[in-house]
Amino acid sequence: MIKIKNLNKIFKISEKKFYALKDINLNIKKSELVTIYGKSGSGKSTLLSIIASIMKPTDGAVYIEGENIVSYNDYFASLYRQKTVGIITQDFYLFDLLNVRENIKTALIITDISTKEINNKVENIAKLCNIHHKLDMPINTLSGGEKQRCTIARALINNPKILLCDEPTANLDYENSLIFIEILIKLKKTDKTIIIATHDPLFKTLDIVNKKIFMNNAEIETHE
Amino acid sequence: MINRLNFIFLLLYSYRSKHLSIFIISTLTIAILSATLFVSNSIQKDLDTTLSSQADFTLQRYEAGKVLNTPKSWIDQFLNIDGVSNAEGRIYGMHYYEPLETYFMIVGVDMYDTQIVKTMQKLVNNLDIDKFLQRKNMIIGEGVKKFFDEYHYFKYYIFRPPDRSKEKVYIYNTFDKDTSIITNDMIIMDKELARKILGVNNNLVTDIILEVKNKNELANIKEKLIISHFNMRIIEKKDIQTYYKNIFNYKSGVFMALFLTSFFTFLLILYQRYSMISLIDAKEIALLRMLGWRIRDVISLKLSENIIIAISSYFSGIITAYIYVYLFNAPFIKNIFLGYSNLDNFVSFCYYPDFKILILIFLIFIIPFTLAVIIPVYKISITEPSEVMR
Repeated sequence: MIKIKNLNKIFKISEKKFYALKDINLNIKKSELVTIYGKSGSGKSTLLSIIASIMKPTDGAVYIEGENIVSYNDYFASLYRQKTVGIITQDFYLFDLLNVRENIKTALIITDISTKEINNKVENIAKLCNIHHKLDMPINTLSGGEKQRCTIARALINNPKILLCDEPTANLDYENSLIFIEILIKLKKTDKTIIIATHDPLFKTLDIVNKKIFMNNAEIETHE
Repeated sequence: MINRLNFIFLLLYSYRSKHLSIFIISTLTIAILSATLFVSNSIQKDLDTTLSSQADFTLQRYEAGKVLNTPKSWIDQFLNIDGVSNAEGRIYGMHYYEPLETYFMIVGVDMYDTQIVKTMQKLVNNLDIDKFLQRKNMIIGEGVKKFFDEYHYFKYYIFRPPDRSKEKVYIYNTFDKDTSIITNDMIIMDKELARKILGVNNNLVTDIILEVKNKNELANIKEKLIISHFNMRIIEKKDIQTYYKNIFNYKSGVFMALFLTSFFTFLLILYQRYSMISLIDAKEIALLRMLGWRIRDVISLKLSENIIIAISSYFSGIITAYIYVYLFNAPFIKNIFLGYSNLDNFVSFCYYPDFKILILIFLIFIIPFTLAVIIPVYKISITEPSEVMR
């Protein structure tokens, strides 16, 4: 499903180069749930950004179902982000002045799906993420956990094959983190490939995790 | 398509406080620009209407740098020049209106001359010349009427000629509003009555006007006029038109220069506002890109949003300018064009539909506005979403 070959990402800061990712090679099978552990600055988020095609690597390749997404132009990269991946971030990134329903819809605005069908999809996904009771509430009235569930619903609205979660529980309390894990368990049953970058110990005890990757200093240290 | 439109209007509504400030500033900008062009256009058309009835040549005796009254005997000499179809002495001068310490222009015309009567009928509605000549009557400009009304001279006014006698002259009518740029401070009366009120001797006239039938002969006739009298100033019709146009073009030019400076400052601010796009705005663009929106989808969203604001501002600005100029008679801007002197404040502007002006305003505003918004949005759209979100 996902094959990463010789991936490097170098950032330049005032003529100084430093590696954000160094020689990353990785294989993730379909329907696997993979967790990537590491300290801040270890390269987890950069790796997810490249898999999500919202960042280009310096060199290397990322194959998704046999296609190198690194070579995609804006049209294909956007299509890939729209149809193949769903992204969940710790900072939620929601339109604060719109309500939950409108935020979830955002990903579908540019598709050819009819308004009625969009509304049905929003209702269904909101139920799955346990946010349906807040659909018409403005974002700025929601709690952190509700915002996170709204982000999850938005990421899932296009029924993506891959779900990328970057520190999904970093801004959540214990109770809301457990709710997130409940949703994750439901999603695991839907055949999605899920990658979670985290340093939350809560994920270490999860038995639904198929693979654990540990990163340090831009490199993959160990696989489990 | 419907989903996109809904989303555009949803964003416009949700972020209305952000858009409202741009809408108000844009409306004001458009209104000032439009009002300036409306006033300038109205003045231009007024001048064309009024000056088209001017004589081909105006001749004045000019000695020691001063304009003096011209001998009446010169008229016959000029009539003998081949090509001159008509020569006539005019009586006019300034009358000091004591109550308000201002001056009116008194013009005496020969009301028995059919040509003059025809011209007068163009400038005054329902002018019945027989009725006009039945008693001492005058036709007055809009500005003069306002001043007379202020001191309750509703029906007549009593002039005091230099010999300190009294001349009671009735107000017959006022000039058409669309000639007010020239006729505003003007009083027209019978020539002999004007002669008496202004104290012009019987064998003199203020100046002489000449008509030439074949306009191709104007240069030849001018040459003959030059050699006929050494102490004579010759003013051509085109000189008068150029003189007036230069005055207004100069004033509108200065105003436009100032306006354009402010307008480009506004665009610069707008550009900077979007260049230094707030963190929230930038993140929203990055978010859309992250959700699979292409660069062109984001640009088309922002373009549509801003074009709606720009077009609404355009129409609201045009309507505001229309009301300001044609209903309220352009206070402040009018004074920039016409000055504060004498009676100019009472000029009223007439509407002459000119779609070129509307298109010009549209292009002057919409193109820079759109570019000022879209260039910064494009710059953010092509940046990697992860970089913007970091």
